[in-house]
Amino acid sequence: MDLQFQDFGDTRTQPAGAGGAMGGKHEQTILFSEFPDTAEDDQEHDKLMGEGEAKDPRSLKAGPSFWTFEFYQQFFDVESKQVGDRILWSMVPKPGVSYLQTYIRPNPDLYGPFWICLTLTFATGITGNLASYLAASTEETYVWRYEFRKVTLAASSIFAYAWLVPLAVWGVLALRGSRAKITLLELLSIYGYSLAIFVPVSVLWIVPQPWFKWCLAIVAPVLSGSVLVRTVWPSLSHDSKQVAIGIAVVILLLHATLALGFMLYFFSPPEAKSKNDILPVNPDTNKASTPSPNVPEAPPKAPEVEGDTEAKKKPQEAKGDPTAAALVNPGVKMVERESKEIKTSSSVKKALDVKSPVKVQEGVKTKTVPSKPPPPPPAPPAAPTAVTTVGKTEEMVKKSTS
Amino acid sequence: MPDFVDPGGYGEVSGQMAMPGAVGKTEAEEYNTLDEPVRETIMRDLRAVGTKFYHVLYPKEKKALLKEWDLWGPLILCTFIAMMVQGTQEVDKQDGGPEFAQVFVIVWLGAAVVTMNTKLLGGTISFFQSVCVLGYCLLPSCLSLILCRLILIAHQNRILFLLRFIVTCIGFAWATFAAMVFLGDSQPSSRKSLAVYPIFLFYFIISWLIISHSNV
Repeated sequence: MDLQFQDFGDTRTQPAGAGGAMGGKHEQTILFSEFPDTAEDDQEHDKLMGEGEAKDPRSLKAGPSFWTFEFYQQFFDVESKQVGDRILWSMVPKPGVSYLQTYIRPNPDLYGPFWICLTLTFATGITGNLASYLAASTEETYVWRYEFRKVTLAASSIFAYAWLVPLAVWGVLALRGSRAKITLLELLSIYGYSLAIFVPVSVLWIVPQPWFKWCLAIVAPVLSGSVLVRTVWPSLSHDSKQVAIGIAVVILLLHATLALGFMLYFFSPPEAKSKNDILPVNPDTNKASTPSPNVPEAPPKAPEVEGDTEAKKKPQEAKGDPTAAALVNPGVKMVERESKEIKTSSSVKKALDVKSPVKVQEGVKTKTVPSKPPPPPPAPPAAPTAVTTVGKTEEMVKKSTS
Repeated sequence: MPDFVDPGGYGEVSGQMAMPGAVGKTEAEEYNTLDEPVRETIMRDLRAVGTKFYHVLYPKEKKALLKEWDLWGPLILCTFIAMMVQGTQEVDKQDGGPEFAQVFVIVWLGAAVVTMNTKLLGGTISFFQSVCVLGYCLLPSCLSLILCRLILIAHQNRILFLLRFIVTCIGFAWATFAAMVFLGDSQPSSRKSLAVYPIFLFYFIISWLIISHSNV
């Protein structure tokens, strides 16, 4: 048998794509357009095409049903690095870059907003507690008290801000018919991440310097608020200038109100209170008995005293402190102290600071109770009444010395 | 023709196929679980809880807590912490502490939220397994609470506060580390820190409750 190659022509040996490359004369592109028709292949083909088509419109809407778990999983489709970036750039307004486009747009998430809100709740609660403890820590008797109810209040206000304000902004934008569509999810994301700056700021708010706190309270909302406004601005640009600026101002104001609210509620009041406590109960009154009866009495009496005597006297601290210290010098004898008291009470009337002389005299008064047996009856009633007017103490002192 | 060849001349051979031992065994098993003394049931559960405590304290083997979860341990720990940490009820000594119910809610709701977060991020662990792990890993925090309570017996000053702080920090770090060992593998590595942070926050809050408890 003779094997012969049948000549089919040049086209057979040249593959479709390489025909041109090889410079063959007879170029022929072979298009594979007809598939072998088998029943199974048809079904598979239809199924694939069918699913593909069906999936696209479904995924454009909320794909899985609202009641399945997967619906919520789509809101958490982020990587660690993405979350880190989003947090960082929500605090620092980058000039040429739109925060929304670069960082949020592909997949807005709810992981960041939720955990930032929760972190902020506990951060403000804990650091507020720390701040009040540190502000009053010069007193030996001050114990760490924690205020759990502040945490619950913080939680409600933060979550309300983070969920209701974006809802309101979205509603306003939708009403105004803005063309650049920001979805509600993106607004929620942006607002959530914009709260991230308050976590380190609340830690810094522990520092008890008022000017520093006010600096922080201004800088922080300006920074994150500017990112917010720059993000929302494109949706407002089609509107009239006044309305756009108005909405932007409202957004900034709300943000600043939140910051101020935090600062004033969590970080200020204990300072104002402790000033009254610390000043009279000076460490140089190192008698054990003086602080303990004083501390429970002093705080309620202080505002009373201020009310009465401030009207009469001008507080002059420079004069007040040395005399007060001299008065409570532990080395001085009882009698000497009382005579000094008689002498200085007149100057006390004129020039001393409102809180210190009264407290000092009160302390001295309670001193005289155990040491001088004869006047126990006048002394205890003298102690509370002495607080109210300085003149009366003079009388009591004279009585006790006689 | 006989169908049976009987070379030895034994005659008809018949007998039971079922082994008497097997039948007796299943009966004995039923006896074990239904009719066993109550003490044995309790001891079995206690032993399970105890093994899990041991694995939390020395987190080397990962499967122990996950394979058979139970919630006894978390319940015991949570009740203990809530009892110790709750604020006093006396009106003049209001120390601002949480109520018993608030601590309970924080622990259980916190564990549930952390678990939901893990699952939403795509974790492969079941709900109750994760709650079980988080609950058992409260044990180091509980131990630090006991130590703090003992320290609080002495008259307080700065040094003792620092000591309590250190003890609480150690408990917190240990708890977080143990939870990470058990739960860390269920997440892809790109999201691992996203899943770990809520665990960190959960134990941080519990540790804050512990360190803040100072009414003597």
